[in-house]
Amino acid sequence: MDRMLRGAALLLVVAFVAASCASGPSGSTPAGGQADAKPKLGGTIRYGLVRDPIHFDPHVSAGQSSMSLQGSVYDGLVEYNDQGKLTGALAESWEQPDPTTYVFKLRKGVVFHDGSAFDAEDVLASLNRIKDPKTAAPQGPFVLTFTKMEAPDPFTVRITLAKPNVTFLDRFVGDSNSTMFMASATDIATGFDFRKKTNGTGAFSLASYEPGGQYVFKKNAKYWKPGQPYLDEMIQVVIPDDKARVNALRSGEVDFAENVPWQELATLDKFSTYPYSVSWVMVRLNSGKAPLDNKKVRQALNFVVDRQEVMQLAFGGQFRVIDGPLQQIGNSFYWKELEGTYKKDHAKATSLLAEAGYKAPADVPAMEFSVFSTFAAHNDPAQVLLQQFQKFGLKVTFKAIDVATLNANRGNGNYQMQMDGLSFSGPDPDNLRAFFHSTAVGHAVAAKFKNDKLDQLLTQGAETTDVEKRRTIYKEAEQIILDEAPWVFLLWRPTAEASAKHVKGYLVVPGGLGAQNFGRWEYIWLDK
Amino acid sequence: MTSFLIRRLLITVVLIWLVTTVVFMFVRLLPGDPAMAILGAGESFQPTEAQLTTVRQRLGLDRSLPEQYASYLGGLARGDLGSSLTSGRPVALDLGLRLGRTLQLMVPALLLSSFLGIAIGVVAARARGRLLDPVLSVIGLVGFSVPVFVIGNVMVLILAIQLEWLPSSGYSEFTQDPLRSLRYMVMPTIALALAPLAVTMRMTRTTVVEELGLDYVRTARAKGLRERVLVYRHVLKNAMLPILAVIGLQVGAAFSGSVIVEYVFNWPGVGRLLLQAIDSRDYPVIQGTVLLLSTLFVLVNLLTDLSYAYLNPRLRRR
Amino acid sequence: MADPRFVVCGLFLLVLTFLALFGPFVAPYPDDRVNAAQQLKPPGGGFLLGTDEFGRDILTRIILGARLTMLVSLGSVAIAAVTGTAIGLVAGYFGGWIEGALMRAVDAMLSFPPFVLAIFVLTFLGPKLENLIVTIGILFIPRYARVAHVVTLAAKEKDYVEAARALGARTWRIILRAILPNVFAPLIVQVSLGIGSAILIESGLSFLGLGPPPPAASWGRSIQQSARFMQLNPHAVIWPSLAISAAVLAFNIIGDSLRDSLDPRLRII
Repeated sequence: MDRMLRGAALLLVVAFVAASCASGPSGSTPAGGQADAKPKLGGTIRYGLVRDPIHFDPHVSAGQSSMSLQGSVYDGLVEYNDQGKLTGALAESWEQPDPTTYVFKLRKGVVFHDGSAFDAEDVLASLNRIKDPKTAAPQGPFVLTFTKMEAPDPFTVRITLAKPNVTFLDRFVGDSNSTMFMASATDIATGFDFRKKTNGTGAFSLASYEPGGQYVFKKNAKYWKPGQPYLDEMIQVVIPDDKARVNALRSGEVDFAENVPWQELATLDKFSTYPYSVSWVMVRLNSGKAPLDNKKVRQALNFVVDRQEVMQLAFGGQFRVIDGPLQQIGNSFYWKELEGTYKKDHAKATSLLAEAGYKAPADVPAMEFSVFSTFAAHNDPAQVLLQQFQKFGLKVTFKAIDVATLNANRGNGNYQMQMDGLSFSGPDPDNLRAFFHSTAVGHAVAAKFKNDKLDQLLTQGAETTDVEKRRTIYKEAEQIILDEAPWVFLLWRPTAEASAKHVKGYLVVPGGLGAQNFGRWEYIWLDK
Repeated sequence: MTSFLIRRLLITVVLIWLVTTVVFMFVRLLPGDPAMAILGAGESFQPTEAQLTTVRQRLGLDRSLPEQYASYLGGLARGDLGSSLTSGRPVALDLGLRLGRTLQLMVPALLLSSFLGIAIGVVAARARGRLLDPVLSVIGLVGFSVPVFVIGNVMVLILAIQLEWLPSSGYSEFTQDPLRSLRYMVMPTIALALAPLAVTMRMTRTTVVEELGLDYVRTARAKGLRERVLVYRHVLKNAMLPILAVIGLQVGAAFSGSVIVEYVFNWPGVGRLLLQAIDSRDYPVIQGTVLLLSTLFVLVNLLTDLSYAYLNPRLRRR
Repeated sequence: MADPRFVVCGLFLLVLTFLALFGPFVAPYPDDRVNAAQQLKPPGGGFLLGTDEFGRDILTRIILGARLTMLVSLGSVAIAAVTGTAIGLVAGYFGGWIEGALMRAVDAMLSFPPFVLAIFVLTFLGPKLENLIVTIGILFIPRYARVAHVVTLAAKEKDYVEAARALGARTWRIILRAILPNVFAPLIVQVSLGIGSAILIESGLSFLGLGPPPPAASWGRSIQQSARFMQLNPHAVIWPSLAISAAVLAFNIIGDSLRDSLDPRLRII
């Protein structure tokens, strides 16, 4: 028995030594940026995806997972260039003869992957398909506002609206938020299975795929951007586990990884990293359930939390908090005057609660905090917030939910406080309407949030074209939103991609248009 | 023997039916809506009620429970497990594909653990009393006490990240490039094999030690029979019965272990599919996967029982 | 029982139990507060084992986690042992269709791969502590039922049982006084090994995110959450891993030594 214990002790020592040898952080700052060298042709890039694209339908949203697929295989009429400005894609140019009419001049000589030519018919067919309620396209309601769509000649499309819409052109960008990609009229007419097959005009065509495995894209030799794409082949590999995906990048299994967690960025000094943010982290408050139906309680919560601490602990201190202005810095609708509207101020929180009729934080009825606890981006900030609420004296209980319940709750309002996130559809402040207008499905509706003046302002803002007027409108709108405090505003969720140093041409489109990065694979080349 | 066989088979069929029904009921009662997942509901998009209804109708999710159950059973009889709600692919197809991959890990792992386990167990039994025995004992105990995800993570840390000898995760088609595929297989297979190896080793050691204490062994030795022949041909054969029983149990346990191993190493097998399907409430896939795993489990148990009964004359009379 | 294995592991388990009961009083940082300034620190500077990604003391998390581990494993094994033994006893003693029905039900329970079933059920019920204990408990019932069943069948034939019946003693008295004591020995062995298995299952489920939700300091969950930071500070993964392994090891060793001293014939279990 002696010997057995000795054997065990020996093994333990060995294990401990091995473990301590394995520790030790490497810690320099991540490098980024590309050289401005001439692109080399050829090569295969391997790209690590977070999850399978749910389907390939160019007109139906399938979340981030299909961004790179839809963006490479299909095109929209317009796109954003690397300065974040709208530029022509399948439409060479456009004009606006009057505030409610747009005329697109289509590019000639573009072909689909199956060889058929692209023309105005395809645009109309695509728009009609989007309009069809059976398609369940996110842009369906938008296309339904068109009073007329016509093709006076094969390369011109003319669209008339009932009322002016400032975001009209933004909506025609081919990306996975808008899903206004152009598909072939023939395909649509013959019942092409868009969910499982692809036929687009994009830089790459999907050659083969296997769910949960890999998606192989081949270069479109007839792509309309001359000399592009540079790559011959793109292989997307599904690696759902963050760590596994980053490890795959480290070991060279993939050249590019999406959704790199912030904690890995610090150790990726031998790689190019692309940090940015297009999403929020916030806590939804159900204005339909007491005690949160009282504005003062909601405001108080916004004064209880310490955003800096949440940002530091949950996201490594990266990016920015949201303490007032709702748009990103650099956006022309960013209001510097609103900075610091909310900050940690327990005295103020206590007095607001008193005004609401609660003499002490402990008097506030217990509230349930629903959190999608297996998702780090929700769970981590929630852990910190929970302690902050409890330290302040509030009775908050943690309720773990899964993704299906999270989604369902957004629609049915089955929560008091829910940890959540959202992505902005684009840089135009009209993006606020999708969340804060009282008819906003999945946001205001379920939470019974309604402010008539706000509704009015948001509707006006979408229709006004005068820039100065819009600035006034949206500034007031933001002030109302902040005052109503439908959510606990927290911070911009940092996200990042990373690539091997030999991957060139990838950049984060400025202006909060990070979602656009994924549709620009024709600009990528390998310096090998 | 035959009546025993028939009875066991009948019971097996009933069990499998029970499994299918329970799975069906549970899956339908899961909270959450697959229509949301299919429409890509998420942070940037909220489907309208109309859109959700359209999808539900298309997928037959709005039919009554008995109707769905009937069509489910009917499909099963035809070998049709339905189609994935999210990808539209036939479930049976995906399961077949993925089962192959899971087996690609499980079979080598079980073969490795069985042969090595028996071999080491015999060595340990023969080394009884000397230093090697307790060391092997401890290793054996540790082998089935350490959780499989810990083993996995430690291997990744040392072999993949620090030493960079092996890729940290992933999968490659075996038929396309065997060598590359093997590199991906090494760590998950070892992680999966460790616990069964430890259990098999311990059981082997125990039963062999017991056999070695029996009279016939002493007699054989006295008669001059060579030790190696004695041990491997006679003693081991007699000790096989409980060892086989234990190996049978390990095969069943390996199904569970493979779920975690596939998660840690991102191996696209059945376990991973199950976790993903539960996430997106993909009913047909969840049903199909749990059904498949349970059926296999039942069959493995059946096989184990049958071979045990066959080899053990004392049980045949039941 | 002067077996040194038993003594060493017994002591370890006593410590574990102590921690489970009095953890919050012993832990260096009982309020488990998050601390932005102390993220991912290696051992030292007031943190004996270092800190995790939230700046929480790892040692504290492990001590607090002990309570959860013991609760889930002891709770589930208790449920399984009591229920399973009762089923086995009744089935074995009364025989006939009762035995048939009960043991068939037990067989049916065994036809699901346990871990897969647990994943499935917990997704349905939600990852609450009670659900976890009950689910794992139910999963383990068959092994106790079987053991009790086998032992009861053997004990039923014994002389003193026949005698008691002949004398007209009441059924439940016979079961309790004559049969039950036979079950104790194998039961204790099973319980000890079972606790080890329960800990492994609980940590596996927690690792997959199905265990008690945060902020509960479950060992398996800590590993899953801190695995992302393995390169920056492996201590957050190493220590909970060691804790789980040590606890399971201790229970297994005790189970082994109990079995060796109580009844070597039970090796097949």
